[in-house]
Amino acid sequence: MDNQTPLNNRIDEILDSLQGMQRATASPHLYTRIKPALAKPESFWIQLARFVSRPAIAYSLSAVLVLVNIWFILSSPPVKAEIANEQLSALAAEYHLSSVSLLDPPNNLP
Amino acid sequence: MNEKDFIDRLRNGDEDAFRALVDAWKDRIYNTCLGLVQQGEDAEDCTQEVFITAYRKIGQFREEAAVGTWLYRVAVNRSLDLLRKRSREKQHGEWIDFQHPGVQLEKKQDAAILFRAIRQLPENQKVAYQLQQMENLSQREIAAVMDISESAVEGLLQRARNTLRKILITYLDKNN
Repeated sequence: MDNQTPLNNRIDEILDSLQGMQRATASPHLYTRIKPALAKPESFWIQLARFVSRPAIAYSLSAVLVLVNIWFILSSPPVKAEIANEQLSALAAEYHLSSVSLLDPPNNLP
Repeated sequence: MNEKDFIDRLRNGDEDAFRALVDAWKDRIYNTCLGLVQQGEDAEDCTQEVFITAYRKIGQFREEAAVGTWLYRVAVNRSLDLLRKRSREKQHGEWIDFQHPGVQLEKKQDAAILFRAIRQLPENQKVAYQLQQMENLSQREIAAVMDISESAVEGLLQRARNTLRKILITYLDKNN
């Protein structure tokens, strides 16, 4: 406990070290430095990024993307099961695929 | 001239009005940037960017806030961006102790220890604490700059002081 008080006092001293501080002053030539940058037009990409990053624009673009996706999903015709089956049957016939049973005689032909 | 007329002049690209804005606010903005980035050159860059942004974005300024509040907000955001960039680049590696030019001579060493501890605070605690300490802003003004409630600012300041105490205890234990 005895050690705590000097430590706390020291911490208070450090925390109070900004009391009475003066404000730092900016360079007197600040405006002279800023002026040429004001005359320079912003690049197209920065303007575009600024425009797109506006909340209203960003939310609208996101909403449009979601709606376009929903529209694509709803408008594409469902894959018909019959067509898929027909294709599989044709494939099976072409390669002579048939279900193999354990009771089938083994194929010992050379 | 009232603030509305002044803002109208800024919106119309009036150079005299913009120069008056820079002259009135440059020290406060520089001091805010300096407190957060703790590096003279970065603070100057930050100050320039704040005023360039103000010039270009004055059209987006909502008049329910004061111009000063808006400038402080831009300064805080720019400073935090710069700090994040610096921490990504790890350019500074081991930080050099920061000496604020406005600190009283006999307190410079303690202030350097405090600034080192402040660097370790979470961003929002750091911003609230620095705006109070460096710019003497009231909790209401800090709340307006940070766009949070006054009670939230009070909580942030309390947590900042507690965190700083813990950091300083560790530092003093290690160095004594």
